Amino acid sequence: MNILTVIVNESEMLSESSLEIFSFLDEFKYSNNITSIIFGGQKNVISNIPVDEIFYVSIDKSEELNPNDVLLTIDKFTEEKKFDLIIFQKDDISNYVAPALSFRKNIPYLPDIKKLVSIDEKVMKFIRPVHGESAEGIYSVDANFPLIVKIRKSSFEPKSLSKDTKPINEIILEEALENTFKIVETKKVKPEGIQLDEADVVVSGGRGIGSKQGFENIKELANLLNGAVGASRAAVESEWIETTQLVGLTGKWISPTLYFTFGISGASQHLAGCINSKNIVSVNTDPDASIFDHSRFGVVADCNEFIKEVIEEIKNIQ
Amino acid sequence: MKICVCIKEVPDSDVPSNKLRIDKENNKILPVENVSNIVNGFDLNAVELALRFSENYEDSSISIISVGNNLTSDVIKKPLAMGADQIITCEDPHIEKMDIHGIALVLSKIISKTGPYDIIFCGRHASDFDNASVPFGISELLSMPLINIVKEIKVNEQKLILERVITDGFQTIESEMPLVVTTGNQVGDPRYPTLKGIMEASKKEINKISLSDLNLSEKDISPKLKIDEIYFPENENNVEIIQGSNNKEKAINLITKLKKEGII
Repeated sequence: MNILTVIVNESEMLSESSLEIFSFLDEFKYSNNITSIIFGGQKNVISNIPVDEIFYVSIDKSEELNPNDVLLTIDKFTEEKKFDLIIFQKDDISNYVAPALSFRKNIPYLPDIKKLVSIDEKVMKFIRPVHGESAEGIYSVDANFPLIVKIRKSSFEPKSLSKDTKPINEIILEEALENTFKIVETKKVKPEGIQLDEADVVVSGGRGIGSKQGFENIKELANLLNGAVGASRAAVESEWIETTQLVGLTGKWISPTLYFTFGISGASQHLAGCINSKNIVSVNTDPDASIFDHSRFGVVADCNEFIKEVIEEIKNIQ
Repeated sequence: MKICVCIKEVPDSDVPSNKLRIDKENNKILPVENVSNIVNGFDLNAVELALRFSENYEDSSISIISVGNNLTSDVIKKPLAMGADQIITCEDPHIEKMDIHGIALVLSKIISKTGPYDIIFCGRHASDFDNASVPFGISELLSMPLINIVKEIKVNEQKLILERVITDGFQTIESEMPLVVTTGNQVGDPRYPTLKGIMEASKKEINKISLSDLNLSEKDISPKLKIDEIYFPENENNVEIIQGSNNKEKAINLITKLKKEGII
């Protein structure tokens, strides 16, 4: 099979999650020819990614990358070279480009793949979560079709870089003139404290916290544990905490060592973002809350009362 | 200003996941007993943004478009109760089996047939199958730009200035009409329907379009992707409920455990 992997580096660094694609590729047992098209990043690192052929698209750092330019570049690239499978990972640009490319080329698209079930000459089968993370679906597609997939974040271990250095073929970023938009300005909002998706400890509050004031305790505990503050959609929608702190399908996807939840029931939308946490510890008044089904430790208590005791106890042992 | 909003009826995603059931025959998530379906949350954000946008113009109309099978009229009429003008549906058992390409094609045909529209709003994704793809299909099939996850739109003469949400902040985007806009919860809460709105919506007819009205062939809508099975992954997790006679004791027991296991 001819496989194309698409990697978009919005900073100099090669994103660690982009290396997850190569572990996913290990699941394909047939002999494959793997090509990567890489947008941005440091060339000396890129030359060591474990693929057969590397194509590099240089990005002008003074301008924001427009997804429509990436889309057109990949569209043209895949007209010249034919691929059976095009693989994306989850990031802002790919979330835009992958489905759009599927329609532009009229080939099927499956987002959020977490596993390859089987592959033979006739059919490929994949697993992806549906309804948030509460259920899974087995999808099948005729192996004669080309296919575009996007892999689910944190479902595969990042693979190490190869020791072999491969030559880099440079191609130019196309400029979309039709069906595009103009980026006038980009404002990055840097949340205070430790970044959610990098934190080893995340303390989140949900509907059960009940007020903006209640989040002061969440912040204090996160601070004591050297962690970041998270929130469920209910808390964000109530404006108790900034949207940037949303954990869930539509917010950040996190995988900390400790994920501490207070007053979160565990709706599928939230689980999607936190299911990869190594240890979930949940506090909820409802003993049947579905968050407990996914937690290592659970406490049935009023979350606002209980968090104060936890804060005090942590202070005692520190 | 002619505006349309595409909406989808879905099972309530705020229902705890342990209450959900699966229809094995049709491979879909069933609505929970005694809990009615809802309009997909992000689609209501789209309705809200469309309503705010329409306030910039004296003469504007908002059409709601929904495709599916056995739609619940009380559910899909909610945008009318919020202030939209009319609703157009296409219902057919085939629709349940369609993949994103089929659905995008049906929606695009309805949009062409009932339009042209200056702006097409969609939620960024539906909470049942989480594909986040169909709006891109509408944009590609109708050759219009798409701006995703928009939280605010300002009008500057003929141009639109849109605030687009990215992972670490916001982008200001300039675009001309017609275009496709997708929305997330950053739009803010959708307005509540007023009693008058609900009364008026209940009186409004649903404009029904059938698949055959759209001149689609079997090949156009036959899915390339098929769902073999939907299931709940086995939960091997065994939660340990921390005991204690009061919160203080529970907190001490919990912290002791976390410390012992090397988690903190």
